[in-house]
Parts: sequence; structure tokens; C-alpha cells
Amino acid sequence: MKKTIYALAIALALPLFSSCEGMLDEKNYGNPTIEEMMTNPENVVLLVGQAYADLKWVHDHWGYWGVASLTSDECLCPVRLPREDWSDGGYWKNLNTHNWNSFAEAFKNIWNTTISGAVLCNKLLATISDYQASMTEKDYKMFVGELEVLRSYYYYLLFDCFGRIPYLEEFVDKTEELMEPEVVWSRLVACLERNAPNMTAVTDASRAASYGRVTQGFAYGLLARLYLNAESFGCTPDNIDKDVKAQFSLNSTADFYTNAVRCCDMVINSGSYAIEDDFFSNFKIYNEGSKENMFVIVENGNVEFDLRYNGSMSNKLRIIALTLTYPMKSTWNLVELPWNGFCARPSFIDRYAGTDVRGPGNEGKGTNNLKQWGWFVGPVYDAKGENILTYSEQGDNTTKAIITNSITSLDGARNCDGARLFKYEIDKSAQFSWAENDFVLMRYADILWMKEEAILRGGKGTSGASSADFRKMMARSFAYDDNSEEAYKSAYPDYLTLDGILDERGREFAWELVRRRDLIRFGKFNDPDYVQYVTGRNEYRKWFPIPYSVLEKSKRDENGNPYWTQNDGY
Amino acid sequence: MNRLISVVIGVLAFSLCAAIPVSAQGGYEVKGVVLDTYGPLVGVTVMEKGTSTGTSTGLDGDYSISVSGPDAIIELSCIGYAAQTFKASAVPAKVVLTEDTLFLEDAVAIGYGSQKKKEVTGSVASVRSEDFNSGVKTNPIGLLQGKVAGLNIIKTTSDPTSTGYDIQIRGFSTLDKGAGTQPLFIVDGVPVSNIDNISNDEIASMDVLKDGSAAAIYGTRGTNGVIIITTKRGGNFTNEAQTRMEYSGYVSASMRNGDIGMLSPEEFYNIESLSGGKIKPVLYESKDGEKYYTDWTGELTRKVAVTHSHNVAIVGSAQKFNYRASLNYKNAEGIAKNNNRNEIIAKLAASQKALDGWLDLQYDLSYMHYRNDFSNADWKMAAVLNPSYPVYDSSTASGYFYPQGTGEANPVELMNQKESYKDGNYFRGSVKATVNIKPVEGLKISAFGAVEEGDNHNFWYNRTVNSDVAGSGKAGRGSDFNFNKLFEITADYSRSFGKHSIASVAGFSYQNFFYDGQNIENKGFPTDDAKYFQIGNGDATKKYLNASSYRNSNTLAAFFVRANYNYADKYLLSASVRREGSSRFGANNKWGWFPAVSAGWRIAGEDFMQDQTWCNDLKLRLGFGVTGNNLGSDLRSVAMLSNGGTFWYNGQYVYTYGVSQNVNPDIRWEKKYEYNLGVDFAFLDNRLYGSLDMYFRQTRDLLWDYEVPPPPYQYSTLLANAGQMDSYGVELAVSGVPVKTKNWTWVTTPTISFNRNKITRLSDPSKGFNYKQTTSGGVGENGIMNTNTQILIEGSPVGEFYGYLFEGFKSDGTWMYATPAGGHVSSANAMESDRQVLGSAQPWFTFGWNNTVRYKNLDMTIFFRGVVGNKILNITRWAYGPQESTGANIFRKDSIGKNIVYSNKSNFSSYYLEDGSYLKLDNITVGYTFKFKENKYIENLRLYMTAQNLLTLTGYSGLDPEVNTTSVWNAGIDYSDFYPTVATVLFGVNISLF
Repeated sequence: MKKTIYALAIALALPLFSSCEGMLDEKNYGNPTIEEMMTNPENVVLLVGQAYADLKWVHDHWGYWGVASLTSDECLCPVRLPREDWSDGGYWKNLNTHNWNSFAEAFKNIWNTTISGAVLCNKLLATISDYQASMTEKDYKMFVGELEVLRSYYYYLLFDCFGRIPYLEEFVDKTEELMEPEVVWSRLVACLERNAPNMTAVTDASRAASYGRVTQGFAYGLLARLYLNAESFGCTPDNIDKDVKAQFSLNSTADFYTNAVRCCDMVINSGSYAIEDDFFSNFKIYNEGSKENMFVIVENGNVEFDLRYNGSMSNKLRIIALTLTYPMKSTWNLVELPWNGFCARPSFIDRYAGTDVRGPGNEGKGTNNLKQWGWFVGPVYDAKGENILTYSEQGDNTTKAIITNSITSLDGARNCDGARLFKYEIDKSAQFSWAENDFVLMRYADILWMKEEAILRGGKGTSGASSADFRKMMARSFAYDDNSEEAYKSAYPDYLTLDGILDERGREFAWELVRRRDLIRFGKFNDPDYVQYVTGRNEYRKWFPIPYSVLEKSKRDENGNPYWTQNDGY
Repeated sequence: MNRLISVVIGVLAFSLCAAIPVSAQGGYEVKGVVLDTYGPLVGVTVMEKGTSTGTSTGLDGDYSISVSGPDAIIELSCIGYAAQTFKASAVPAKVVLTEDTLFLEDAVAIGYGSQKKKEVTGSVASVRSEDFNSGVKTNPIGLLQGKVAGLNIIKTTSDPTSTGYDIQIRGFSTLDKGAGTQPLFIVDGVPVSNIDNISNDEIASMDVLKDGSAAAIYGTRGTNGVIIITTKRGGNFTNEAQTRMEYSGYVSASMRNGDIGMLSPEEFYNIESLSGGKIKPVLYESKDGEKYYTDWTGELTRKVAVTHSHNVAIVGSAQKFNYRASLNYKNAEGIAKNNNRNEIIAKLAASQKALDGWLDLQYDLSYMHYRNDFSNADWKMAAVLNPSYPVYDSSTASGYFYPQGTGEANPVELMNQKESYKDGNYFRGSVKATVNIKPVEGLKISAFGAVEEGDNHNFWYNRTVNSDVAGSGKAGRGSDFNFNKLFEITADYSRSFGKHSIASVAGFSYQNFFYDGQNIENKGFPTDDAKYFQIGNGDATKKYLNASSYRNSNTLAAFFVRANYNYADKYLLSASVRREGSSRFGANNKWGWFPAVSAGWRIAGEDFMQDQTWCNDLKLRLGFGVTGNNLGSDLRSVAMLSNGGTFWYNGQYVYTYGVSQNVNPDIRWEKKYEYNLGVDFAFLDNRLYGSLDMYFRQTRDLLWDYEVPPPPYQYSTLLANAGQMDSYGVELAVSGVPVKTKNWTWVTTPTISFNRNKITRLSDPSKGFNYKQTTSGGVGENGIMNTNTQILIEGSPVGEFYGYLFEGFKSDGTWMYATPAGGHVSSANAMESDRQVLGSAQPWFTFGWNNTVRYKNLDMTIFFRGVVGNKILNITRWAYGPQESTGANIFRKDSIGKNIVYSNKSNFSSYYLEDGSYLKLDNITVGYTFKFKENKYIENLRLYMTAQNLLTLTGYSGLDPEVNTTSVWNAGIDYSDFYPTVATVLFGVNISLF
């Protein structure tokens, strides 16, 4: 009888066992495979396009933009009364006063997102190489160049913050000690120099196609930054890579600057870019038309999110929301309440001459002023433009909303303390989280100024200060005066000295991600005369600390010692 | 699958052809009366064993039955009494059944079968319908709250649309990242994830499989325990067709009975004097100088919320067919305005015997329709909004007052200008065909097929005139659909040989889950009437038109076998193994083994115990079992391209695709190894009985989203198996009968459970995970910036608070902390390293205490439950205590006084922790049962009244100390979001007609 049972059980079980093959395969509804994407040449770009997604983090106040701006003189985020907005456990104050530690959220975000972007570039390079046979030689080289230059930018951002980073050009699990700054610098220069000549220069015909993507001009621009800042990164002709040194004749520090001039000239001579007549056309809601912007983060105001980066989605330009003050909602019937956070340090605003359009203006008309200025200081009127709005500062509703270029205290600023950045045009009918303005990552004006500075620092080359573009750049700063370079020169007579260039770069590139590195290059980063409110005056703070969580979770050798160690001083 | 089905059909066809009809022999008449100690017993089942012949006793306890012959075995059984069997020729004229408090002969569901209670060797708690909690319960699990030692059931809201409970069996056994935390529910044989669609009145019993040896037969889903729900079915097969009708219903009224402790409007006006001049309130005054005293929470609530429920069942039986058909309707108002739940459930259960005992058929069908109306009440806003603001303001477009402060909104406007509801349907149907292979005694082959269908639809709309400009005029609708298929085939063999008996089962199970859904929203409709009805009529540019959809599926397949062996009711042995595979795991690790073994020794059955009069039952149980925990989401182990948003390319936006996660093809089951030692006992003439269980459990290969270093990884987290967690505990459930006379009985049942837990390993350095500790308990509220308040450390339990140890205030109000090294530091100078463990969110023990007193037909139940020794983090105190700089918000009452303490927003310290112990008087029920001995139509009638949630004794200053303690990531944190608590009074009636 037992045999009968066994026989029955086996007879039942056998067909069942054999039918299990494939039963547990996981079904994926609606998502393509890599094969499908790569074997159709039209689709390759859909895969490559994703490599730009992590750039969205760059202009986030919890990302690179936040720390780069707040630690320099161009930006401040005080605690706002009466509700202690932006107190956040002292997080913003620590950035403002240079007292950050390795736990700060932004450092982790920068580390994770730039590496996510760089590793994705490496992964896509490996994928493209696997499917090289299914695309043309020309397309293959184009994608390789684009991905390598984009990867260089991700690493540049990481390098600019931390100095010692894990720089990888392949998609492999190769964890070793963090590379020293001069090693990273050499590899970045080698990679960009290798790829830049093969990339296409932007022409009027190709401008739309290459918009928001890395190009030859951007590659040379990034090289110019690397050469100009070589010394501030700790590079000397003696410690950099020997091959790089030999190939680009980097025998003295002046040679760094000569190469910076060379790279700027590659951009200038390409004819791809021009200075816009109007300073503000670079920052309009629809600023796609600017011939001056060399690389931007593209925003699409018609969708709630553009590229999905690192698991998150809300990724529009937040500068406008961050800087406007609450009562401005009533002035313009804004859809969202602004966040009333970020403003300028008063010393920074003081460097603008009165009628400089990039500055706070001088007419005192506040929101009734019909002209656009780079910064806003003055009264905030009601929607009809008749009365200055009032708000509650302390138990009453009588405080007039007048933005001033002064800060009561870092721990208890008034609602309307500090100048607000107004150069990005405000779309008053849209939600801030849907901002359409493309965020400028590199501008032709920067190339022109970098070249002059490199020459002043000993680089060989011919000054471009008398070129038409350069003169236009100066003149447009006084567009509301008489739009002449004379007005500029009389306002800023020492504009062609090193100190003059530092001040001018502040005025021209406020909140455009260059200020922190400029201050470090000029040795002013810890200088409280320059960067107001700085108390943590330590030389080591020119590098940020490697994020605590990264060190904690990094790989260890067989003895349990971590491969990665903290930067000096932290 | 097709092959499976063909096998089943083949087996069924074979058994049908081979069926040999056996003609029934009858004619031997047996008559008699059945009594208990108090008199005639009505409704005792009288069956001829091994046949479908049966009847039940009438009003005088009398019966008459025609059986096959004088040697037929007749069994007399009745719930609550020990069954007796006699030869037909030897049945006494009067049989006296004795009450069996222990139900030793009753069937306990153990998964793919049942065992007599006395034979059970695993840790299984069985709760029958008469012991269920009384009162309003949002789903059946509420019926068990506090009833089973080691089963922790928490309800944190009285919102009727939130039907779920937080459920945990024997503490933490998973870290809740990737893996599931809910127990597995088996409803009439079907593993389901939702038990909302069962009427509480239709449940016969619930069996909780607590330990690994019991749950291992459900393999991969057994780690969090298994709760088997058995619904009521038709009665016993009877020679004559019988019909009975049952009605049970109640109506209840609920009122608010808690307070989160904020200042009243009057106190807010007087805050300056109350605070000794330290705080000056911001008082609103309208243009005409009118003052307002708005109770915002009161504005959002009803005075009384009424719930009523009705359940009608028709129960019928005949010789070879029985059924139970029921209809349930319930409408529950929330205490919040606009808040309501409405449900209707229809159910049919039928059983049939066919082909002369060769084939048993069982059908189950149930359907539910529900509708949830959401209140859209922002309670947190209501609790903290300035009470000097008015509700209405005729100068605004909507007529509501618009507060102007950051983050402030008028909660009454939000509630009334928004509308949202959800409705849906559930269907479950199953057929079980059992072929009794008659030539082989005790052999049965069963095929079981079930389908479950669910669809939910939600609709929402914000009116155009709205202070929330961004959300105004938006409407949306979404639907989801799920369809699950279950197919099982099992072979049962059970047989007795002298003193040996075995019961075994082997089978195959296949279950497939399918989910699909879509959402659509738009904005800018021409009129407010368009709502979600005309979603296409929004903004003409289609800028705000958003649509999305998804589809997922997953599959589980398993082979299992179990054998139970019983020697002379003294030595019991049970062994089982399940091999199960899940589509969700990595290609390298899809399948896992889940073995279990348990043994029992019924000491009471030994010869040397036969003379002991004090001992009625004594059994020792020992068990070991391995259970698994399935991954909670699909497609986690594979590289997958997914839509990564739009990219500007060649002058237009195109979609991009990217790999959205790090890939780990090695993801495998979490496995829990559990040892259980238990004792079941009954002493002193069954006046003291219960169970004691001790267990040790270890979960290995914990699934977790590990932070990994980028590079080499693209993303900073990787789902992997590495950690390990241990826990142990003791559970005691005792019943005592201090009073038992003809008219009086008092049964008192305390249960108590202790659980301790420890993370023995958080990481695996060989895989690159270097964790010693990680933080949890994230809090981000009004001015508190994302602070982690808890820590998970290797070697320590889950749920430990971690922060600064508050010592006291200096005379200038400076907060002082004690450092771990024994020093003192002020709040401003405190370093990260000065933090320490501050106490546990896990209670020392949890308990329940039920008392039932009966006097004749009057009964009364008083039920208490509670926890002792846990800490609660009171976020409201932290976030809405007074701040130095402002008088704009309303504050908690207890922080305003002469020595006002300003809340310290930047640091989490033990100042905000409170003792979370509580004793709740869960319910008091008083009932009266009318027995109609002479009535032709009414069998019985019971009227009762229940008062629910009357009293909570606690030192906790928040709204309700019953906070979530079952989540790894925020146990014991009382967030400032809340729903008002209520006390409920309920009147109910049960009636049975025939």
C-alpha cells in the first residue's frame, strides 16, 4: 500500500518538477533591454542622454551649488525670524562661517551624484564599446568623446571639492587609495587634451543639436580652468604626471598659464561663441538663444521633472525660489510661496558701482522698478504698486517689507535682510518647481576673463582686452547709463589688474559656481575682509572633508584598514 | 501551468471512472437524550462515524437516528464539550457530556490540514469566535488584539478608512528593507495579503502559527508568522434538510476622548501672563476689531460619529449538501467630518459529498464593495494654528480666512475645498475537490484552485478657488487592479495502526500575483463641475496633463511534505520540509529549503500520571523550524533599463533610458532559524490551564539596502543579504476559573509576553559592507532638520533612542547634557560624540487581561491590555514647544509656566523621551442571552452593550501611548501627525431563527 502512495506521489511530482523551468523567470513589462537600445543607432543617444541626469544635482542648494556659493562671499543663508526658518540645526551657518564638518549632507550628495554620473559614463563607454560593430565609426568616436568629456566634468566638480578622489576611466571594481590632487589633475588634463581635438566645434547650424551637451568649446574651457587653477589645486611642474608635463611643456608655473591662454584662444578662435548685447539674455526664462552660454543644465518647464537623477525627481532651478522673500508672493501673485533663504553678503554687493546693471540698482523703486537689475534691494510693493507691503516681524503686522543690503545677525536675520539675486528672469505665472530658465555652467565671458588673468599671471599670449567682444562685455554692464566701456572703466579703473579681475569676476559671475575657486586662487577664501562672517580660518578648509559616510562605508583591506582616508585637518 | 492542469484533470477523471458505488444500508434505530450537568443540551451533533449520516438534538436534548447496523459507531459532539463515542447497540438512553474547557479534541488549523489540540507540537494559538474582542474593528485582526501572547497588534488611528493594524509576532525578525514585515494570512486555504474583505461575524476561528516549526510549512512567507482564518460554513450534514437564519448587528456612537495637549484659545490669549511675560502672542484682529477663539481641531470633527453594521446569514444543510450564505453591510463614520467608510460583503460557502463518498467538493465565493471618503483634514495644522485667526473671511474669493504665515493654511478650507474618495471591489473564489481513494483507507487527493481579484479606484479634486494656488483646480483619478491565481494539489494519508497513528500530507503549490494600474491628473478645468469626471477637459495646452501606468507580476512555487506521528497520545512527532522558489530573487538563488521538526510528550497520558487527580493535561513541546521572508518588491536583482525622463536633443525633448539600480544577482531569502520549547497544562479539574512558550530565533542573510562606495558602484546603495539578528522571549497565557457554580462562572485570562532582540551582525566586510552601526528614526518637523533619533548597533537591540542625555537647565536656561564619559556639556558645545543610547522603544513586556463573568444568562467581559517599560519620543513636544524668538504658534500647555522651557530644535535629547507604559481598559461588554425553549421560531437572542476605549492609564503626555512599535525604522516615535482618538459605546444584537 505504501508503494502505491509513493508511486502516486512520484507520478504527481515528476511532471510538476519538469514544468518548473522558466516558471520563476521575472517578467519586466514595458522596459527595453540594452540590446534593443544599442542595436538601433537612433536609440543610442537615448541611453547616452541619461549620463547628463546627475548634472541636475549641480545647481541644488543641497549639492554643489549650495556649498560652492555659501562658502564664498557671494552668498549667505542666515536664520530668519520670527520662525527661525533655515536654522536647520546650524547647517547653513556652518557653511557661511566655514565651520563645516564631514557630516554635512551636501558633501555626501556631491560625492554620490558626481560619482554616479562618472560611473555611468564609464558604464556607457563599456556598453558602446561592446556594440561598436552596430554603429558607424564616426558616431562611435563622437559618443566616446562626449562621454569622456562629460565624465571629466563630473570628476572636475568632485575634484574641486575634495582634491583627493577615486578617479577611474573604466567600469571596474578597483578600489585603492584616493589619488592625490596632482595625480587627478594630470589625468583630467590628459583626458581632456586627448578628446578635445576630436570633438566638434559648435556652429550656428549645429548649435541647437549640441545645446545642453558637452562640446569642443566646453572641453577647452574646462582645460583652461584646470590650467589657470593648477597652482591652487597644489600642482607644480615637479609633482604632475611626467607624460603630461612633457607633452604640454609644463616646465615652469608660467607654462600652466600659457596653456590656459592657449585653451582660451582655441575657444575664441573657433568663432562658436559671442558676447550677448544684453547681459540678461543669458538668464531669461527662454535663454536657449544665447550665443554666450557654452554649457547649461537644460530645464523643461512643461514637465514636472526632466532627467530622473539618482532616484530623485524634483530637479528644476531653485535659485529663484530660494532667494525671493515671502511678501513678493503678493506683489506678483506668485503661484508658490518663495522660500526666503539665500541672499548676498553685504560686502559682495558693495563691490558694484552704482549704475552697474549687474548690481542692485540705485533708483529705490523696488518692485515698481521696470528695469531689470542683477540684484534686488528696496521696497516690496503690493500688487497695485501703491503701498509697501507689511508683515509680522514680532507680534505685529506693521513691519514694512524693504529688502536691505544688511544682515542683522546670522542667527536672527529679519525677513528682508540681504540683497536677492534677480538676474535669472522670474516666471511669475509658473511654479518655481517648474522653472524653465536653463542654468549656466560655463559662459564665453568667463573664457575672455580667464585669458586676461592668465596673461597677467605670466602666461604667454596677446591680450584680448581690446577685442570687440571684450569691449561689449564691459559696455553692457552700464546699459542703463550710456552703455559705454568708458562708463565701465571709470567705475572700475583697475579692471585689468589681478585684484581688479577678482572683483570683476564676482560682479559678472555671481552664483555661477566659479567664486569659491576664484577666492582660493587669489588666497582670499579664508579672509574675513573678503568673505564676511568667516570664523573658521583654517588653510585646510580650501578642500572639503571626504564625507563621513563615504569613509565609513568604503572598502577595507584584509586587516580592516580603510583604503580611503580623510583629508588633512578634518 | 498547462501541464499542471492536465495532471489534475487526469487524476480526477481516473478517480471518477474508478468509483464503485456502495449502496447504503440503514434501518437500525437509535434514540436517546443528551444532557450536561445543568440539563438538556440542544444542538449536539449525532453522527455515524465514517458516514454522512447524522442529526442533532432537539430542544429537550432528544434525538433519533437511523444507522447502518448495531455495530455502527456513533459520535456525540458539541462545541465546548468532550465528544463521546458508542457502539450503536450500546448507546445509553441518557448521555451526559462534560464541559471541556480545553477543547482538546478540537481541530486546530496548522496549514494544509488540522490537528487535534492535544496533538499539536508547534506553538499555535487558536482563538474561537466566542473569545473574539467585542467592539468596532476595522478588520478581523482587531478581534485578536491582546488575546494571544506574543502577537502584538497596534492601532494608531481611529480613522475608519485606515483599516489596517500594525501586526508583529514575536518581535522583530527582519530589518524591513526589501523584506516584508506582515504575517501571512491564510483565509480558507488561500494565502492573501488583505483581510479587509472578511466580515468579522463570519469568522469561526483564527489560528496563529507563532514558531518556526509550525510556520515552516509556509516556507518563504512564514518568518513573520502565519495567521489562519477559518470562516463559518454550513452545519453538519443532516438527514432532513434544515435551514437557519442568523442576524447580528450593532450600532455605535463615538466621541473624542483625547487631547494632544495644546493651549486652548483662551490660554493662548493669556499666554503673556501665563509665561510670566516671556512670550507675547501674535494676535489676529479683524478690521472691525472682532476677536476670534477658534478651536481648529473642533472645527474639523463631528460631535458624534455613528457606525452601524448588519450581518445576515442563511445556513442550510441536507444529507449531502450544506451551505452558508451571508450578507454584511457596514457604514462607519469617522470622527473627522467628511470621513466615512462603507462596505458590503456577500459570501457563500458550500460543501457537497458526491459519488458515494469518493468525492468531496467545497466552494467558497466572496465579494466586497467598499468606499472610503477621506476627510482631507490636516490635524497637525489644526493643532498648531493660531486660535485667534477666524475660520471665515468674507473678503477672500473662497470666503475662508487665509493665514499668511510660512507653511500656514486654513485647515477648514483645505478640508472643504478638497474632495477625495476611493472605492473598490474584491472577489475571491475557490474550489476544492477531494477524492477519497476508498480502497486505500485514509488516502485523499485534493486539488485546490483559487482566484482573487481586486480593483481600487481613487478620485480627487481641489476646487479652483483655493488658497493653495499650486494645487487649485487640479483633479485626478487612478485605478489599480490585481489578480492572483493559486493552484495546489495535495495528497493526504492518515491512518491508525493500534497505538500508532500517522497523518501526512505532500503537495505542490503555485501562486501568481499580477498588478496593474494607472493614474491621470489634470488642472485648469473650465468649471468646477468637470472634476474627475471630465479629466480631458483641463488646461488646453495639456501642460498639466500627467498620466502614468505600470504592470508587475511575480510567482511563487513550492513542493512540500509533512508527516505527523502519534504514539498512544503520548509521544508526538512532526516533520516537514518545503522547497520554494520565488521569481523575485537573483538567478543564482531562486530556490530555498525550509525544514522543520517538532516533538511533543503528553506527560498526562503516561501511566504514572493516571492516578494524579490534580493534573488534567500536561504536554511538553519542542520544535525547530526554518522559515523565509520574501522580497517585498519586484525586479530588484536584475539590470533593468527604465525611463529616465526627458533630454534635450537636436532641438527637442526625447526620452532617455538608464539603469536605475545597482545589480545584485545573488539576492536570496532571508532565513529565520527558530527553536521553541513549550508546555501546555491543565490542572485542578480544568480550573487552571494554559501554555508557556520559550523561544530563540535567529534571522540570517538579512536583506538590506547597503550603502556601498561609489565607485565602483554607480549608486550608493545595493540590496544584499548580510546581517543577522537574534531574539528570544517568553510567552505565558493562563486561564483560571476562580468561580464555577450552577449560576456563576468567572474566567480570568491573563497573557503576557517578553521579547528581547539583538542585531548580531549588521554587515559583511568580505562583501564590502563595513557597518558597525547605522542611524534611524528620522525626524523632520517644524524647525527640526532631518535628525536621526535612533541607532542600530551591532550587539544591541532594534529601536534604541540615540542622542544627548538631558541633565538639567542652568539658571540662564542653558540646556545641559551628560556626556558618555561622565562630563557635562552645554547644548551649544555638544559634539556628535557626546551622544549616547537613551533607552528603548521596545517594551519590557506586553500584556492582556480578559475577565468573563457569567450569572445565569447574563454575562460581562472586561478586557485590559497594555505595555510596560518602553520609551516614546514625543515629537509634538519637541517641534511645538515654545521657541525663543516667536509667539506666532500655539504651544503645548505643559511647557508654559513661570519657568518656561524653550524647545531646543537643534538637538535631540532625552528631554523629549517619555515613559510609554500604559494600561488600557479596551472594552467592557455586558450581554444577556434569552433562551427560548418553547419558541418554534427563535433559537436564541442575545443583546449586549460594549464600551470601548474608555480609559487609558499612562504617564505619557501625548494623545495616545499606543504608538507604532513594530517598525524597525521609527518604532516608538509619536509624530505630530495624528487622528483624534475616540471612545465608543455600542449596542448589539445577535439572533438566530429557524
